[in-house]
Amino acid sequence: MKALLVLLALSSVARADELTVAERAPRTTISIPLTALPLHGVTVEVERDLPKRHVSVVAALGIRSTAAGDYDSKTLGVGGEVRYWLRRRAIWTALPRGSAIGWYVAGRVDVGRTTLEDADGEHLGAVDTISLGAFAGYRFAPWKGLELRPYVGVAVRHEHGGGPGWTRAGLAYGLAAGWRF
Amino acid sequence: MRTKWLCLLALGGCASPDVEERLGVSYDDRFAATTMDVYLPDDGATGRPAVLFIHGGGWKYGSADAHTGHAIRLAQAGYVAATIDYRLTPDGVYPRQMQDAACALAFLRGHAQDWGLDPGRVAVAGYSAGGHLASLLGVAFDEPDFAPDCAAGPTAAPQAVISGAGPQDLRGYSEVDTVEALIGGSIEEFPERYDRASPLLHARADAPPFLFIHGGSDWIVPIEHSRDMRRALLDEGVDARLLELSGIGHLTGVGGDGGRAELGIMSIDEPEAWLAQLDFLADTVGVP
Repeated sequence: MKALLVLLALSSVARADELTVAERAPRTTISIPLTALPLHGVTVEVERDLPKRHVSVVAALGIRSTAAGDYDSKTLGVGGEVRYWLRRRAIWTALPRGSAIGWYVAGRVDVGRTTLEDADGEHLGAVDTISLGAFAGYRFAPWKGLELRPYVGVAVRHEHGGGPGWTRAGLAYGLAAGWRF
Repeated sequence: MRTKWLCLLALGGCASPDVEERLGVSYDDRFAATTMDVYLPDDGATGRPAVLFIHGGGWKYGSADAHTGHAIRLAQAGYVAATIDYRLTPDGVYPRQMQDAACALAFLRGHAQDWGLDPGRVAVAGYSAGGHLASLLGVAFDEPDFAPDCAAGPTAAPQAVISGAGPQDLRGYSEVDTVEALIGGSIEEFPERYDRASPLLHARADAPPFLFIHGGSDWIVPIEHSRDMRRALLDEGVDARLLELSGIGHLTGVGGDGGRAELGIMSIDEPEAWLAQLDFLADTVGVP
């Protein structure tokens, strides 16, 4: 019994130390999903860790101009995500245990508006989208504050505008890179 | 409420109560595969424009369901929309798939009165292999090899063509198994078949307007197919438009935030493509 109490005490000291170290670790991340770049777009995500709750919250802002040829388009999107960090430890990582690293699961919502113009600059309409997603990912921090974060999940998207709306689901994936500071 | 949740999870979207469905309608009774699903705006109107969808899948795979969501959405917008199955390889060897597509178009026009459509305002749309067949209907509808021998008989070219990521020149695919299966052999064995089955070689001044939709990162059917076909049609004086979607692949679309990719999304189903199609259909077969 005595040994168990000692073990528990050591364990809580270790956890407290871990948390203290993690609290001193970088808690803000600015990242860019690399998968957005080929779409002629950029999305910037700002993430803030709440280590005591094992969660981080994310706000995202994205813009892209995917249409080309005889058309031009603009898409503006904003998103929010909550990530729950499971073990808060990771391989190939310079950040201390207890940081927002390693495996996570997340829920996300995005809203966006896409407008299309033809070659003459005539406005052809707009489509609004709302997307709900559930994701799992893994964050590496291989060097100082650099982070790499692959993720996969499912997303349901509803589109409305330019006529009737429709809803569909799909498998989604991405890769983000960022800096923690 | 439960239906709404099921709809939310459905890949193809959900039928609206204002769309009437006619599923599994045979357009050639001689074969089990030659059926179409028809979606009718339930408003009793007549003389509506129509869109006939032809699915992809390398002429070997796939089904009419690939375009169910799209067809329902167009029916909700007031178009008569149909999506077809056809004989796939090895049964659907050259020229059977071309004949089936022509037969389906003739059948749809033949039911103008029943389904309230205007046979002179019909567009065909397809993706990948379906985009190839749609293009052939546009420029090679009178090619003797493709004349259907079904009860619906031959028919004129559609009034408009939407070709999504469709191969337009099969000569460059002569060593691809699915193309060989479609043609029935290699280019050395059947060079004339490869020529006849390549829409690019049929570009003509009296072709209907074309809209090409193609992902810029499509590695399966490179975007040059659509660019070259558009150029060939423009050279003939045909209205040919191209919507390129940068970074989008053959079956990889954009996630909701533009920062992630989504699998299984056809480029013709992207929001930009929807808007371009509505504009193109309004210009060619008219607004319902």
